[in-house]
Amino acid sequence: MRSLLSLVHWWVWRDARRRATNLLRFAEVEADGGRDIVRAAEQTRDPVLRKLFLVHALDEQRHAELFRERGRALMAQLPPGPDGGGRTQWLAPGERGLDDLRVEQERDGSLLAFLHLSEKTAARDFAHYVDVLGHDPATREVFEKVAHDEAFHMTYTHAQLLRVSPEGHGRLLWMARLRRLWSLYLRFAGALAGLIGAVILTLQYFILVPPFALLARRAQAREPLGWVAIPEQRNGALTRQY
Amino acid sequence: MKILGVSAHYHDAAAALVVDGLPVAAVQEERLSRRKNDAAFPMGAIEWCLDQAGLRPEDLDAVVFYERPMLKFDRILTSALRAFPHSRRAFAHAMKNTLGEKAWVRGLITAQLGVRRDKILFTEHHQSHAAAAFLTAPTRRAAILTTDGVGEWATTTVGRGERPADGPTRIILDREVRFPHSLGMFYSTFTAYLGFAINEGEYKVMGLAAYGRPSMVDQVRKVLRRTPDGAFALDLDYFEFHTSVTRSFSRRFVDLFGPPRLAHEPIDLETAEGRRFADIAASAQQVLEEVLVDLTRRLKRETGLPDLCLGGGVALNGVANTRILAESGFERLFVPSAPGDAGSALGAALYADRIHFGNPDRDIPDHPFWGPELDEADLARLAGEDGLPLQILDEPALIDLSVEDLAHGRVVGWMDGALEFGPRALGHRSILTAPHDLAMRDRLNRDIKYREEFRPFAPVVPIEAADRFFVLPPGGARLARFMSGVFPVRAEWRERLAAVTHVDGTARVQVLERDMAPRLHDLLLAYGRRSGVPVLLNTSFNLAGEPIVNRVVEGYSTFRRSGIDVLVAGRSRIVKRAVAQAAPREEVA
Amino acid sequence: MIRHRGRFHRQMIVLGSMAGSTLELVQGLWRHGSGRRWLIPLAVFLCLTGAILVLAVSVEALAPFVYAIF
Repeated sequence: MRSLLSLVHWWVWRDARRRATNLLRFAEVEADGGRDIVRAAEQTRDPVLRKLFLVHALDEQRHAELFRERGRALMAQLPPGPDGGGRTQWLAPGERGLDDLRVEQERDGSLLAFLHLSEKTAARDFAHYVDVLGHDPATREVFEKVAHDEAFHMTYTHAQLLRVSPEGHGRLLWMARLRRLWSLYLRFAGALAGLIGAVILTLQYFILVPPFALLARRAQAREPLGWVAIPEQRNGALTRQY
Repeated sequence: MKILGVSAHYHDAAAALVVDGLPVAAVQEERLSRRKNDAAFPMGAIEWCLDQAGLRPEDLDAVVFYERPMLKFDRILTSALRAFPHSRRAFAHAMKNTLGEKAWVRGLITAQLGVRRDKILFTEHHQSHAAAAFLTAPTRRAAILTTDGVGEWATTTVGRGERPADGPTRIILDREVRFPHSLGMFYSTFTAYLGFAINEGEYKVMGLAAYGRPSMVDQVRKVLRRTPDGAFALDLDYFEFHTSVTRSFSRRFVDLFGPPRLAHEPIDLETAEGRRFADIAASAQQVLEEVLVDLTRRLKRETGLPDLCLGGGVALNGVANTRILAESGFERLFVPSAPGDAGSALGAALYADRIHFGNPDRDIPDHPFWGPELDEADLARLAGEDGLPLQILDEPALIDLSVEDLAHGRVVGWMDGALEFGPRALGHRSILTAPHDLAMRDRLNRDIKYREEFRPFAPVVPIEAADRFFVLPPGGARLARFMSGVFPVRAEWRERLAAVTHVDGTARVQVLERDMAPRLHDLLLAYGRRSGVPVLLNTSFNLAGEPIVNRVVEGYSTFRRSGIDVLVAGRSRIVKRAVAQAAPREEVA
Repeated sequence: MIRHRGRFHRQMIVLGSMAGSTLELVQGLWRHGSGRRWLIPLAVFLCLTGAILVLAVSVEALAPFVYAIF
């Protein structure tokens, strides 16, 4: 299983353009994650957590910059081409790419449990990336730096979880694990529903729309360019939605 | 009457509450949710507005949505049909997006607020813009021009507004240009082509334009043509925004202007490629200005009125506004603090009050501060918990210390009173610094705002001193009230105002009357006495990618994470330890 | 103070409002000066599709199964 995963990671990071695109996407994910942590710092009433969250947020901001710089450097070495267009997004989710964090709805304990698991997953993923990036020392170095910070984040979130919830930390961690699983399922269900919906609407488009499209084009041909007078009755009633 | 206005679902959702004809609260959802350009149904903003007035939803006489969702659905569907068979992806995306939620606004408002269906009203998108521009302006009769990306069908409208002392208020929109022919979409397409985010990066195009020469206006005029009746039309062969969800411009557009800039590529103005992008920005900007000036000249001839009210997102283009003021023949130009979709929440509520319900006209207070008030006690708590010494000062001492901070080259986070409504920090949630040298501009870009070097910073000046430093035409001070115009910095002051003078010698100045923000006004005068220049650099209090701060705790977290040296919230002041310990360094002389 | 309803309850209210809104769309297209009455059948059909989409949004976890209605 582990070697299969390594093979996937190797494939994801092998191509320079894909590598650059993923790094630029990571930069966005880290920046977004940083903003979530800032929000957490602004929400908490616990001064120790606030300080740690602010440090954490600055780390995420720095990671975003590291990823961005390296992604740009890689892109600059490549001939002009498409910028990826989201083709491998699901393969490179980044740190919290699969989780929606609603900071304002979280208590300190559940937030710490969530962050701890996220950081743990990120640290593990980044270690995998380091393993398969032997052919690109500069990118490997970026991941090593980031993984070092992730280890700190993983440690402090766990230590603080023990502090704020000495009795319930185990339960909170299990709840967070279940939430991550549920969130993963919702993502999957959403993606599948989106796909089915797109297929259905595309079928409708090709089966139902053509005659109406013809009529719409005819109507368009009759429409003058430029100014169109606004009938007086439109400057009035607010009860209509049309 | 108690009327709630709501704008949502596309960008910059907001809510505004009008009670007995006057606004009592208005706020953008992003300021509360802390998600930049939050377009979600603004429950947080609505809840805050109602709490502010001590109301429950059932106390409201009406809830007004800022556009007609079914008319919009008609436009979306018809556009997809017209583009058949190229619109298959756009069709699936648009139908899911629209029919999955956005079309059912009446149900959504009923579900969220529990108000009766018959209390829910709908203005047209451009009526909301027109009302936001005209009904908040200190004028009785004015011509109105609204222009943006698109609402339902209209993208540009012209008309007139009247609010006589002894008769009913009227806003009559006479004619419109319809989608897909749109000045907003035209400018947004260039924004996307230049690698910036649509609905966010338009400022950057305007800033970049100053570095370029309009050497490609002939090409731009090919894509935006004039029609014989004085309006305009896009040549749709160059665009794809009407057929695609991911791309705004076509291959032909690329053939005409060259390869687009990728979002992650930095713009280096020293290279030929960087200069090409700047030239394209300058050309698009010039053609936009030409069209707007011509539209407004014709409107002036037609109406003969001295005043023009400008609404819609395009009214955020300060360079174009200044040309309109100078060349259209209108004596005064009014642009509200929130001319975009957020401001439409207020516009919709005012339109319903004055025109649907026929309530008597009332003058709207001429300021943008309709958001949440500051709670100074928060800063005392935060500083106490983090062991930072807090000073609570009387007014003169606060001004004196702030002047010293600014004179010593410190960056001051300045929070005062109620939050601004609109995209600009106008003195209540600002970062202030001395405006004198380029090093300060570079420091702000590098350590605080993390943004491109070609984007200028804006100055703020008291109205009494504005003419001394800036070339303001008649009506210029009014346009600069909400930072809606860009004016030349007087040549003799450009060196002393280097941090706020753009490469073309202009500045997007805010001209401040004391009534609007007395504390900042006092600070400017005191700084003037100290330095000889009563001008400060005023940029919004936020970091890149974040909304402007609202509460003290957000100002504090921004202060802690950035190179801001001093935080002032009301009469409370804290400084970073390193700043407190450092020896003072004189930078004013 | 706003009384907050659950997501499912809210979506059911939205669902209940759809007939009225669709009727307004039909009336609008019928009365509209530019002669676009031909659009009404397609618009109504798509609004019915919209009911499925709203239902799918209201029960996120079951969304793929809701589409099976088709």
